[in-house]
Amino acid sequence: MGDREIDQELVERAQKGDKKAFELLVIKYQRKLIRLLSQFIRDSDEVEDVAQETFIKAYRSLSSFRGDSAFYTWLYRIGINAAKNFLVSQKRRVSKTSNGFDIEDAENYEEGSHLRELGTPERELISKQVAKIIYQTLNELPEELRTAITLREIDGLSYEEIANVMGCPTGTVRSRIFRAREVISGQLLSVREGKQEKNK
Amino acid sequence: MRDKISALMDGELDNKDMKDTITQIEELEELQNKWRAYHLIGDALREPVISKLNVTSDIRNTMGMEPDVLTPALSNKGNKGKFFLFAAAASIFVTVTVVAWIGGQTIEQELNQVADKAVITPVELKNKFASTIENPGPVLAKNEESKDDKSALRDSAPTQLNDYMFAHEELTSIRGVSPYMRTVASRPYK
Repeated sequence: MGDREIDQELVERAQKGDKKAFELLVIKYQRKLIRLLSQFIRDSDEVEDVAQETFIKAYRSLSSFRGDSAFYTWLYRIGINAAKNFLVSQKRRVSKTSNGFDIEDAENYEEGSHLRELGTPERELISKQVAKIIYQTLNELPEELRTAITLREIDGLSYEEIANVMGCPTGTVRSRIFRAREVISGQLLSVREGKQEKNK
Repeated sequence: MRDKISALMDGELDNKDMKDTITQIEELEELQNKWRAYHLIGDALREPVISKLNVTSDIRNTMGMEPDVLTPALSNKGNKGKFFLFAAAASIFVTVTVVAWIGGQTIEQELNQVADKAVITPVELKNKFASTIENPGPVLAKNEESKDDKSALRDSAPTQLNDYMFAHEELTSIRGVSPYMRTVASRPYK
């Protein structure tokens, strides 16, 4: 059961009126979409507006999605059109960086390290803090947990491939990745709660 | 359940577990937060810079005002389409067959009636066209020059019948080529 099948299941639920299912898709793809849109639009508030518009347009035209392409490819297309329409309405020229994009490559789209940072200084700070906590916690993880989640999230290996690399059963791989995620998310939560305490 | 969310994100659940887990996530806020956190971690590890922009709540609010999408399931729709196509083709076939059968029956019956009328014995013919034979028209006069009375009778009878039927075609119960077909078929008199 791959990523595409999961998206298809969520889309089918949303097509039947299940708005929660669409929310799960929004959570899954919002950052990827925002990074894409930020290549065209500089202002973070405008990026946010166009991202919202893209998701709303996608939701409204969900009945036309037949699963011929991956959900993100379809969303990517809507996002690109929304960004172009926005720029036309703003009477701005589309950035030259957009010329290199190909809809066919959307599924394999890699944001790349050359991208400029997003958003306002305040947002950048939060973003950097989150990234710092995640990387810091990752480095503090036991070796086997760190390797497992790195092979999964960064290298994109399946559980079976990771099991071969690490020489352990797939069940162990599944458990290690889960534990790594739990530790990192726990750390994020505690930092967030600590900040909320300070703000009080 | 949380470990299933982790496996779901990695595409490592079977179909049933996937559906059950998604249903559970939809129902529990706590599990939605896990879904959110795990995706954030994945995005942060893959991307050197992550966006803190979060459009989920805004979209949720906007979607609250949107009507439900409600699209029929794809597989059912395909079957329905095929069924309607088959039903339409079958109904057209049955209609054409019935019309052709009824038409065929009617034409056959009418042809039989015409045939019954058209079958005339030589004696009846002679009596019927006696006046013509005795007082032939311009066309018959040509034949009369080279043939005797009997042969004139044989040749002229069908011709006369044809002329008669064509002249009174509008009064017959059938139209078109059917009378002609029958009268042509009656040529064995030659």
